[in-house]
Amino acid sequence: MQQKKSPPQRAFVLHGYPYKETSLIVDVFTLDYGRLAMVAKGAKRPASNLRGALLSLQPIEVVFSGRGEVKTMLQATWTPGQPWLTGRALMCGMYLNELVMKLLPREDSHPLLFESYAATLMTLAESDEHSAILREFETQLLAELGYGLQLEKDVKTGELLQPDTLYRYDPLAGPMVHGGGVLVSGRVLLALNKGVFEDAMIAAEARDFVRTIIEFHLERKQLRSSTVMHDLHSLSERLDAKPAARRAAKKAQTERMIIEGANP
Amino acid sequence: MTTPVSFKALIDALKALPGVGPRTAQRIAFELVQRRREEASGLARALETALEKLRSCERCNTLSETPICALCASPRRDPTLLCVVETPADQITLEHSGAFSGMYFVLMGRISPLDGIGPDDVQLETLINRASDGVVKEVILATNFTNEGEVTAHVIGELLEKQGVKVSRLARGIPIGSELEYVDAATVAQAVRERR
Repeated sequence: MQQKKSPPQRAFVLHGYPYKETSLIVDVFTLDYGRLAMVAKGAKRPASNLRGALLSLQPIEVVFSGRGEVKTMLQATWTPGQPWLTGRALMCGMYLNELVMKLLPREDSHPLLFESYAATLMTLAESDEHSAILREFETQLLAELGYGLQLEKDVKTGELLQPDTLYRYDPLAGPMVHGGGVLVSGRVLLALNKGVFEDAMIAAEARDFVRTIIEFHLERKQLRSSTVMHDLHSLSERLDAKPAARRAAKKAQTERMIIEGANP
Repeated sequence: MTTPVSFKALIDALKALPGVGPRTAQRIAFELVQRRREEASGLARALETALEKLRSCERCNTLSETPICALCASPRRDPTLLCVVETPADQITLEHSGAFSGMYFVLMGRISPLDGIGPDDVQLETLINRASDGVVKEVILATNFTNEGEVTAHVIGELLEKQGVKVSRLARGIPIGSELEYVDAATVAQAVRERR
């Protein structure tokens, strides 16, 4: 049965899962069709014309067919332009992918979000301001999904937010002085609105605030990449503590030797 | 027909295998107990022996029947070089290349944030302790050139540099003996960027 082919689509692979010997099931973010699941048959074979399906965080052009829940990927070609993400930027890219996968429903067209995703990957490669870049994408993603953050006015009184006031932020309504919700300072909300974070403290508070709102909208789904980042951080701290412990042990040993040497 | 308890247990056990759903599990179970009883008992014995004998090598984390595997115990290997690979298959490929005579550390996986596979799943702490034992002079990161492999290499590199260990990464580029015309564009782009 001949099925209708899609026109070539600009797309990004969000994540791939191994399927049978050489195939993959890929979660693909396309320009016009939104997020789609596709099977990439034989994509792992060296001569496959679906090699593009293996590369996440790189722009590809994809042709697919099928009307069911899982489409068939017919062609996936890498397109140049996006520098390869490395190090921290790469981890941020993976976090972006998880956000899109967990928050965006399948087969929901979001061309604006697609463009801002592409632009975000580009800035991640070019700038070190990773947290500001992530916050900007998070707010855009929330807005595009209809959960836009209210970052200008107290939603009850209509008064402009004041930096030194503490607000209660209701994830479904917005900030208010009296009410229920997440406790957050006006300074953090205003910083998010401008996309400028004066110091590390505000940046960290903004991150935690947006994370709380995202978790609310994720319902019970977990962000795995944050858990992995957290585990890495604690491993790093554990290892950092070790040389200090070794040095302390050595110092104690030398001192003991000196004392013993002094009292033969 | 009601399913006998032991048969149901076999199906459930098979379902635990990656990529095996309830139908495949039932098909394999029927095949094993009806048509291939001899192979089935062979499989049961092999599984039991493997589980009993195989351990992780204390030095390199790969599967081994002895506490320290043959390669790690060999006096002919250079103990100052430590190569980090994702799987035993990658280690075999490097051995075939004949270009490396140092020691290995096999992660038995890679860090994959989106799958929730973190540092503890790939024994990172064991690796860092192994690499900072004072004998190892250089750690060569030979994880795959996928995003997950890159993240794994980055994380290990950062942790080891803090411990004062020299770290290098496998080079990448155009395959030997290939003509540019037939190489995929992404590889060519990378080779241009990393030209020497």
